[in-house]
Amino acid sequence: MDGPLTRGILDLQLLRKLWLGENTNIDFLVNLMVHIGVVAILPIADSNGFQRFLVPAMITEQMNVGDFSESKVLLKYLNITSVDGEYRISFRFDQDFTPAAYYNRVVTRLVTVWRESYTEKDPTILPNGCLLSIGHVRYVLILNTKGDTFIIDVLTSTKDHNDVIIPHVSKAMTDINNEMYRGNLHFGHSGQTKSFDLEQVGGTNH
Amino acid sequence: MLSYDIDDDDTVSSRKRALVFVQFCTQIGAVFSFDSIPGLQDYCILHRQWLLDTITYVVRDFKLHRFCRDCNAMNLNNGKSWTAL
Repeated sequence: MDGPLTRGILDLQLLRKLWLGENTNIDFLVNLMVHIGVVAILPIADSNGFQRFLVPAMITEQMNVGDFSESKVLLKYLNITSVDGEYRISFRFDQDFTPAAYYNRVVTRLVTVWRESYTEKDPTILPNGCLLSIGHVRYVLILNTKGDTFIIDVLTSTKDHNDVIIPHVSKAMTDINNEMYRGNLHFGHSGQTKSFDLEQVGGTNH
Repeated sequence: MLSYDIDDDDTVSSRKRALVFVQFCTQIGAVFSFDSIPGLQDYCILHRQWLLDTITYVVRDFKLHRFCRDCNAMNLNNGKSWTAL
């Protein structure tokens, strides 16, 4: 995979075609879909001025997680030359089953909360991962769902960036767990990060 | 979907009674309501399947599930919008 996908983007014109006859309910439905984490509103409108939405659930392809971690797209985005330059924190989920929609909700929440970070460039959704940012700090989420494993890796290019990003990602994950899953998902993180206590946001340190 | 719009000249208790009624209907599973979601408090969904069907028009496996309306949607902006999704 050398070039980024540009899929997972829905524009309002297309939404109106798909929701034929629901014109009066569109605002309500969009609001609801944002709230339940199905879509995130993107700050950049399309060339015709129509609102656009990110829909991570539309990317159903899977690829080898190892291949993704070493992909040129990822390395270029983080501005590093090899995986040796990555800083990685892994959020591991304890239970045998974690809903697949959870990861998509984390992505839409992070895009929604840090919407102003995408006024110049859209977030990029890829099979097994996505390229995101908070301000000028870039980071990558990688989803590993092989077998019973459900791990979300967060990658940055420097430790300082890692220290900035991890609390925000963790907060989004914990909030979604509490709001949508009644806190039933149990996860902890492993990896190096600065004085970050996951227990403060509802998780456990491994 | 029902939006409960109570006139300004109605008393506060009218609104409270309506909300309590909707909350009760939600608790017994008769309707969906969203009293904790900003912007959606004044709506409730009477027919749950409508909501599922509506979301399914957007989020689905397009290889398995197709609808007649897809034909119009696919031609929008010379197919660019469809491809982006």
